[in-house]
Amino acid sequence: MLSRKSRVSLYLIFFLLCYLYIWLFVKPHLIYHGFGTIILDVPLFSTGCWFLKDSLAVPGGLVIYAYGFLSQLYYYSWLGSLFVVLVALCLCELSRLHYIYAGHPRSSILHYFPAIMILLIYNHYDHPLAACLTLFIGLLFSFVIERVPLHQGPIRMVVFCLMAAISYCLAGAGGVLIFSLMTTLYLLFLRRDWLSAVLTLPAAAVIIWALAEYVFHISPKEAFMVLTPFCRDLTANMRILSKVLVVMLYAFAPVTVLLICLCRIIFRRNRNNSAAHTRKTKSRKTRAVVRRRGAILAYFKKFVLPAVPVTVMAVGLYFSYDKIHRQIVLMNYLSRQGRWPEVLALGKRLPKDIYNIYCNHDINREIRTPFCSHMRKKNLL
Amino acid sequence: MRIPLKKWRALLRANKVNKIFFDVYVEDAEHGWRKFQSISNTIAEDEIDCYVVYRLMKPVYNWWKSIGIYQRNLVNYDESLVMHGRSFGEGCLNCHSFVGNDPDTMTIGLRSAVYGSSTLLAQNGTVIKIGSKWGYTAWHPSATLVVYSINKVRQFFHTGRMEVRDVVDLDSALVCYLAEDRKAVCPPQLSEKDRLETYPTWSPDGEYLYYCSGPVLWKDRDKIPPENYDKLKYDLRRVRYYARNNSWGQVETVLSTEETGLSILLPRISPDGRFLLFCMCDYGCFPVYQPSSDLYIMDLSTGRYRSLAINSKYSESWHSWSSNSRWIAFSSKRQDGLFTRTYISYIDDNGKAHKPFVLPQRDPIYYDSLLKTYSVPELVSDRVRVSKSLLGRVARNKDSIALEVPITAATPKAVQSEPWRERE
Repeated sequence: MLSRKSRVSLYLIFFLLCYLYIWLFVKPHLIYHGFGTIILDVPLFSTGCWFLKDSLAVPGGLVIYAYGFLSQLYYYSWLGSLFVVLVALCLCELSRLHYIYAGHPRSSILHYFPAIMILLIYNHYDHPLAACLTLFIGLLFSFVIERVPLHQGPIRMVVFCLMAAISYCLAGAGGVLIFSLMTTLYLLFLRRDWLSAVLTLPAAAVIIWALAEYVFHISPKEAFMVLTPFCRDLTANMRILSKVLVVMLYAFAPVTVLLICLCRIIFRRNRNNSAAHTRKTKSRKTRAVVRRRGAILAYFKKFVLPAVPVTVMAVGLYFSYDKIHRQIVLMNYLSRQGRWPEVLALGKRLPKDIYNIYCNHDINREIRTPFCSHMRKKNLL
Repeated sequence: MRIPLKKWRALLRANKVNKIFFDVYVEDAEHGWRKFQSISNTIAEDEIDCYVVYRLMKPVYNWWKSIGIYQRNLVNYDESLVMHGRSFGEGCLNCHSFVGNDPDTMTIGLRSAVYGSSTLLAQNGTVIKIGSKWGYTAWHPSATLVVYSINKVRQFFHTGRMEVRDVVDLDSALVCYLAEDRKAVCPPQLSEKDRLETYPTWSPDGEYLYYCSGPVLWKDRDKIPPENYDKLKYDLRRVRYYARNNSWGQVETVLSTEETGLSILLPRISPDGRFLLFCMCDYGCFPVYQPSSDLYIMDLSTGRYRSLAINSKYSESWHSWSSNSRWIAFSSKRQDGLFTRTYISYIDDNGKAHKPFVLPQRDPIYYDSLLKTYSVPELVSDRVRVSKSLLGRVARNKDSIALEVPITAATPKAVQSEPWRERE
């Protein structure tokens, strides 16, 4: 729908705004300093081969390892923001490629929605990086298998099984879920390979079970949960809105592709019928109406459509913004820095009915501990 | 620099009892070449057992995750998993024990929020699940009888000291499991009302059971920490076992705290029956949390004991003997005071321990970044062959052999407690 130039301009504007918002307002270093306390997530990382070996011994090990490493980048807000935007951009572009492949040839704004969801989760000071990486691997694998020139069903199935096994090792059941769902949809709607489509999901389930039983030695129940949105480790520490957004993030690409494919089928039928009909009956008056409609559509495409992602993002950020939670996160950070007067000032601004154990602890440290006061008087803190 | 394994082994074989020297030189821009002090080691005459089985876990404070029992081939650097907590819902794996140094019979205690507390008994390739958790376990040499402890162990924290974690056994007793009859009995000698019995170990001939026993110094058996917890010291005792009629004799005190002034824990007797190796620390039942814990050796023929020269200022604990009684593997925190590592030392004919060395790794700086502790190193003569898939499946199985423990009012019931209060 949008020209290449407009698309690039929109990308630039959208992601520049995202970057500025995360860097200057969300401030990823607040998330970093809140790991393990205010933000219950604890992305551990250590150099050395034992940590890598340990990480790779579980399904989704590579994602967990990368998640641990990349979370350390949040220490510097500018770097953390850059990375968050990069992840969002990758997901955005990968989604666009999928939508084009599914038959939405000039996808213009749909692919921005995963990026918006990621931004909203960060706006809540939750940390969806593991989910993003999982999703990325799932989408990437499904795109790769569609691009591999394999025409025969059985060979395609073998390649799928191999890739599903690799995907499970790298991104757990979450990665396999996205990969197999997308592959099933393409087999069903684009390739019309019904048998392979029916076999894809059961094959993925068997692969997960076998790897869990003989490679990773984990219980089957757990094996099917690793890095899915229902996995405790992935979302248990998030707030409700973020949990919902993570589920939506996982579901968005498969659901969109499904809708695109369905729309293609429905509109193709209608177009065939109406084309035959209009060829015979189109009058001069009707042609004028069509032209007027075309002009409105062109205006809509040129000026309204590009504004939609930015507008949706702005509205979403406005409504999902939680001032109190931000104050709590900020207070935690200030106490880590030993900036006690600011902790106290922030504490005074908190509403009376707010109870947060970490804030209470920070304030107590300030007002009750003679040691802190003594150090402050001596300018040692 | 890496010495090829084959050449290294050939060198050791050809030079038994001889000394081996290492000269290390370094060069830097400022000082040029410099030589470190020469390292001199003696090549031992006796072989060590091929494998060591240990538990690898992060230091536990409030919660555990990712606990696994691993085995390490001492001939090379191969490490393989015996069982991992993730195979039964990130459960906790407790102490593993073998019949002597034979890996074919093994027990592992399990604790899981999902699958409950139980014990896995692996014997010659088959695994059964026993529906009660065994604490410190000692197999009779005949493999027909197991003595295990049941402990009401609770963890608590000190405000400030080198090791802030501490553990107390609010109540404990010893129970015998008869493997053939699949039933448990509780001899009164091993479950005295006013005493805490723990850490059982058998003499190699199977005639005596050695264990630690301390008085109960508190009335409230639920209070944490209890009063006088830091005054609790354990004696070393033994009791005669008559295998013919499955009966027990009178309890004897082998070494008392009155004599040592310290708490005596973790007795382990060498397979040749000559020496008894044990820990002593200032107080309590858990030497790994006591920096004062040191290793001592007792000559069982004379009853004389002495501290080993290999002790450090940090905690030494969890020791085991090789099958030829010439080597010990033990846990020590000497590297940094926090993480326990497995050390190996040679014990000569006179019971003298020689220069200990940390369990070698392919990467010499491996331990510098390792945020895990090695606990309960057990030397075994061969690799544990039971499959980890089978162990995991049995652990997840709902069916288990019900074990009625005939406990008296004095002994603790095996109840589920808040996990963070329990010890690592």
